Amino acid sequence: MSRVNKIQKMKPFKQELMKKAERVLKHTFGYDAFRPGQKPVVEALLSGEDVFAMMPTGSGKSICYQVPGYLLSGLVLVVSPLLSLMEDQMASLRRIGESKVRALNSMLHPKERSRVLRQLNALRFLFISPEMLRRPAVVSRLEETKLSLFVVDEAHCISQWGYEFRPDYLHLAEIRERIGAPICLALTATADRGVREDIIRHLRLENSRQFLQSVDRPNIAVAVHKVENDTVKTEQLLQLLGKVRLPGIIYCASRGWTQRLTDIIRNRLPLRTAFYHGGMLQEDRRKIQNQFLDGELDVLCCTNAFGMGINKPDVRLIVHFHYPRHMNAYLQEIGRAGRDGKQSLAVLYYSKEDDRLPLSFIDSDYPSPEMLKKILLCLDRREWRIEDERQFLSAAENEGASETAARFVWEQVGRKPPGVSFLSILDDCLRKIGERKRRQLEDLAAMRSWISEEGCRRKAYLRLFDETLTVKPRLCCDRCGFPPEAFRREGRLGNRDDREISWESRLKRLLLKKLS
Amino acid sequence: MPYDEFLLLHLVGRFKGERTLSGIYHLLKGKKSSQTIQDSYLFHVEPFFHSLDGLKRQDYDWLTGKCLKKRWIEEAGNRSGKYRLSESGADRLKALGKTHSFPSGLDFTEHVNEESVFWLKLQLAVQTVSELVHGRKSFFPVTRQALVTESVRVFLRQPSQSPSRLALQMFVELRGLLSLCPREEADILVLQMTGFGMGGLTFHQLSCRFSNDLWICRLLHKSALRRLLHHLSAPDSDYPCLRRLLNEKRGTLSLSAGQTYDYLRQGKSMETIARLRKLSRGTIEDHIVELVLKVPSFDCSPYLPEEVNRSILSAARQAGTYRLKPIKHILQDRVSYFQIRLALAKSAAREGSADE
Repeated sequence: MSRVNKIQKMKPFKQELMKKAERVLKHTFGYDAFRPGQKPVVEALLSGEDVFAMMPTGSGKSICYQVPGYLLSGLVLVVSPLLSLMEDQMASLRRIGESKVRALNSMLHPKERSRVLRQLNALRFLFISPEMLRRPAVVSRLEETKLSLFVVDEAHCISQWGYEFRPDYLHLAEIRERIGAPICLALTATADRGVREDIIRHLRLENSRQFLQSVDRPNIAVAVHKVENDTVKTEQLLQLLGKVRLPGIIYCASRGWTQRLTDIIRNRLPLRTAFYHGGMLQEDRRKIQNQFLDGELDVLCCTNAFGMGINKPDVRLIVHFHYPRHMNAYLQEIGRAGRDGKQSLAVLYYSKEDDRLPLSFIDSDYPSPEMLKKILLCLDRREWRIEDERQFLSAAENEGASETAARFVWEQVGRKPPGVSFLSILDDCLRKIGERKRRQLEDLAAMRSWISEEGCRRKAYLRLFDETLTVKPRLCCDRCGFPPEAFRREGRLGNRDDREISWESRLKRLLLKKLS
Repeated sequence: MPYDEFLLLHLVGRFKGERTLSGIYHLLKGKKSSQTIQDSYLFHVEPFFHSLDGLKRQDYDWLTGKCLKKRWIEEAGNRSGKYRLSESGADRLKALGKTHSFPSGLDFTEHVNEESVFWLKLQLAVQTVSELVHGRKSFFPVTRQALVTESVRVFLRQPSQSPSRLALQMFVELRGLLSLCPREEADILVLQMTGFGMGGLTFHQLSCRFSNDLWICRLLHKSALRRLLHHLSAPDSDYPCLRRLLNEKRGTLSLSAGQTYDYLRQGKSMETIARLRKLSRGTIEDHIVELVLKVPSFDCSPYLPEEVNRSILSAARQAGTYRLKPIKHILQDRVSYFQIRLALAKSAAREGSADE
């Protein structure tokens, strides 16, 4: 009874707040109305409730904490797993004229870091990496700061079953308590039920409001093409690129393939094409990313290293030249198309040869039992030390471990109880590896069964997320059928390569403002 | 595209069968080991030190594999691991030398330890100013290296300078500097720069646009960059704005050797320094060799009395080699390896300065 009274009493107050929120949305952000899904989240946060929200990529998740940031007093703390993601979000806030926004991460110069820490009280938004949040000096500064919101972005990173597990995310709930338990907003894109349950349990959000938006992106038509082999696949891809609307992203399973495809496309089609993968120099990656964002590229061949934190609204095509290991990853990746709401296309090519790739990747995610044993013995004999994470990782990689495998070992040895030998955790580690591999194989099986799905592909992927299709878009999927000309490119693309070559005129364009 | 062959054969020729192929790789990468640094002086190949810092081992191995297969290079001595030019290799080099040459800007090696950081600073400064002058406040910086972003931040804090005036000044200075470079080098440098609405090209993209040869693109880039640094740091240089991107404090000394130098000047012994810095004596020895090579005023007579120096040099002449072991053998182990390295370094440094 008393609870009802309380809610009723709050109602006019709440309406008042939402009016304010809409004013902020209009005057600060320039939007006339909330997009579907944003309003209830903002409303719940403003009334002091913790929120867990699953919203598809490109649906405007950030608005959910940005608008309250202007209505609640105190600092909005946003935990973000990736530098590029932080940068993108900072950039979008700076674009609307917000200057009270900073980021704290390991790339920062120590001077800059202490500068940021000194001025916490004067900030509105602080983006922080989970690693930074584990530093005592940072936490104690946050303890002295008034916080309005504790936002966990990309919360699926908390799940060990997720495809982007970040061990540092496991400590977030505890840190949140220590810094005064501000209202929590956990945000995630596509996550299946297992991952969602993990997020809620680890962040202790059992009593939070939950908003699960559909993972469906109706403006992205989906197609799967089975082909004989890589040669046929390449030919089909070239035909596709020759006629559909671009720009497009082509996801490949390996670095070698991104380069190979780029060469082929450049030789055969008048398209501005480049490749991007994690093995490139950081500066080169950044250059390619900027070229893509600035519309200087028609096609980008990349590995899954490209994408998070990239917000380009007009991507028209996503191709999977090889299929990913996880349906979540697939939906995240195709979700990079059509953020402007316009019709886009996602094509996945599949040949039997592709089936080998994911299995070997899953294996390389973990150390072999022999390797693991050797590392643990080295630790017991004090030939290796575990003070320095970077040193440990590179030592493990020298032993032949992949980066992911090295991180796995690092995370396990860090949890060893005191007083026992490192070798004693061997069996426990092997059990964990077995368990995780089993989960990954299940995910892979789900991905494969979706590829061979006979019915509507949209219905099928929604089923995996416990959803049913309510409105079928006109251009749905290859099973439902759509006319290929729906995606036909009209007119010509930009010149084959219109980049200024002469150094003097390029320098002018860079540094001197055009008089116009 | 035999440019890569030209490069490798040239260097194998210079090393005269006294070094391994890895030694050449380390030279090109600019490995900061005293061996590599010393070799670059000893065999007069300083321009190539750090000239291909982006080189990947597998690309290098592919190149050496090619030259071995064509029998242009051969092992000097049975299983020594050291290589020299074969007769056909020497012919090939001669033929290539008629149509190929190395960009002359590579010779400006005064700032070799600073060149990579300077290049990042310059790119970030140009990008930032370009974005600012076009009114864009947020963008993806071309690098996030803390050292670089911090010094560009300081650079941008020029008193009473509006972005457009700063941009104009940078433009004028860069145009002045770049017009001192051959056209192709200037093109390659500027095409890599990122700014408003323009992403810089990667080396891979550059090589597709130019000669289709990654090696020559990289060397031309390095040559242009070294020219820039050379003119920028000249005593009479008239580039006050860009000059501020230079790190004026230290010349070409590696950071660690510089620290050792500071201690030595305080009168500390090698043993004390090794203890204070928690480094091995060998490392301190490396630093002292580096000092002999790079600091003309450095006096190494406390470690190398003049008569020892003389006997080592005459033994080297007698042995006809720069290898340490034969020299030590001739002197019947009366001198240490450290002393031999010092003597060789000293004579290389002297020859080097006589060249100029």
